[in-house]
Amino acid sequence: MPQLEFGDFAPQLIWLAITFILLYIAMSRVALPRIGHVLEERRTKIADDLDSADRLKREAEEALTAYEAALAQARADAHAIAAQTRDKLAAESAKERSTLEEKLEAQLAEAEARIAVVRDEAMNNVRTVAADVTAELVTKLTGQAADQAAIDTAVADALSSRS
Amino acid sequence: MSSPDHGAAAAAEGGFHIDPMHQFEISRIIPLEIGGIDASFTNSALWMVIVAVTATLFLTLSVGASKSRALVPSRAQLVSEMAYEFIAGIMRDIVGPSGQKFFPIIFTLFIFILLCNLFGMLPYAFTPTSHIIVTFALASVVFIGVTLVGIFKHGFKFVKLFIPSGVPVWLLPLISVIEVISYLSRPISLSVRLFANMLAGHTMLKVFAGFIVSLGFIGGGFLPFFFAVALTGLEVLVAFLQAYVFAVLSCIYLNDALHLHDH
Amino acid sequence: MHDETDKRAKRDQPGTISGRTARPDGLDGFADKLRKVRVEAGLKAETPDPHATGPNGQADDVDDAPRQNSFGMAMRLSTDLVAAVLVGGFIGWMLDDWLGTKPVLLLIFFPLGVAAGIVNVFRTANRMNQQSEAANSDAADDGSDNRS
Repeated sequence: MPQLEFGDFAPQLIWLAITFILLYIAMSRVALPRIGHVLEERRTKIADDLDSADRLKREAEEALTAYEAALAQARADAHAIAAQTRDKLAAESAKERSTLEEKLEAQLAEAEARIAVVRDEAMNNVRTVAADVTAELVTKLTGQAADQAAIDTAVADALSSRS
Repeated sequence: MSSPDHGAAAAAEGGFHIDPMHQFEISRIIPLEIGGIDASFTNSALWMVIVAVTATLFLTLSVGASKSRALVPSRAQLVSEMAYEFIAGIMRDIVGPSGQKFFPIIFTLFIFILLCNLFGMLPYAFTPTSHIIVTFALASVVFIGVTLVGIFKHGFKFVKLFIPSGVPVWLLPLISVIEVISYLSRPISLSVRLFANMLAGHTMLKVFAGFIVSLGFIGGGFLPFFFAVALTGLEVLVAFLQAYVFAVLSCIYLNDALHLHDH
Repeated sequence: MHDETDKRAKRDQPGTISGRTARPDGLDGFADKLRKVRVEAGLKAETPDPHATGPNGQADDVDDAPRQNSFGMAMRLSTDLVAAVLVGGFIGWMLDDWLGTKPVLLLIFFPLGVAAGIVNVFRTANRMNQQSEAANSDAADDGSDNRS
């Protein structure tokens, strides 16, 4: 078995020591720090990118919140303006209506007063006419002048019973 | 298909012809003697140099020095990073953050053993890790290193490693002796495992390869050929697995020494 | 005039509600995506995540570590046993040689070596069990994650 040739041990051990130590130096001094550095760099880069993505997301959220706040503000303003306008218009129209009503009321009262005057006049006229007609009729029927006072009383009675 | 009789005869003949152990023989390429010690440059030394140079070149050059290297790795760089992350993950899981200092030595052991195992699969290549003296030396590096780390870290309290808790006093001497033997057997099992796996795998590959040659591919040799192909696949796995096991056990031993875990 | 303004005010009211619920959905989805990417990259999520993967997102690097087949396990266990027996026998033999008590210490240390070997085998088997259990629980965790 070649593995048990004791004479071959020394050269194998010597060259194992040489190659292994050199490899160890190369690995620990150059290769591993380099790879570790690259991996670390990539990790920080990814972490940074994710952080900035997070930050951008947060900013977007803030912008959205601000936008929504502005929107809500605008909406509230619009509502206020609308309500104001509505109230103003309502007040105006109410005022208009009341003045109109007042005017109509006045006209109505005036008209009623006029009617009353006219009616009173007419009533007076009717009384005079009725008295005259009665006097005439009495004169024609009886052939003598009628008693003016009696006629007036009778006419007044008839009119008051009617109205 | 040739007759089975013919095939068997040829196989027997070929088996005698090709010595599967021949591949493990050390040949001196440049005889050398320093201070009375044989330091010849052998085929084993040649392949160890090839492994060290390849590993150094690949792991340093694949990670280019250019600025753009960090974000999008090339395929070669990806392999280097995977090896790095693989060992770093093992160490993180088994040893924890206090093992960070020993990452380079574990990584070097892993890469060295892995490449020795893998390069040994090439035709005409020599496998340094198929020699018990090499694997024993590597295991001793781990064993002595781990023991020194434990003694430096814990001083005399390192002896606690051999005194399990919850054992009756009258049993303690016996248990301690058993623990010491168990501890001392670590480098033996570590080195024998690697050595035996490489020896067995390469011997088997050689035997099957011998069958192919002696039978001729057409004359029934294709059967061993398929076996050899399957075996080669298995051997690649074993080569990786053994390097992995070596690294994992080194980490476990290191963890024991650092944290004095009772098992 | 009154009716028109009233109507407009009423129409605006439901519009604000639907508008407010509809918009942030996109941002929430983005937040989930960010969190997922962070976990994949092995970074700790900045904001606590209700469905986080585990105690630490980086531990599953060794997930793809090779699992020993039974033959490999048997090889490992037998080397562990044999190595301890060899060491025990060797110590006994050396001590015998040194103290001149030829077979006595070898006979004492050989069984001790066997005992140490059995201890080794026991520990290695334990470790393998733990490993495979960890692997299994990892797999189970992954499954539940995918489901949720």
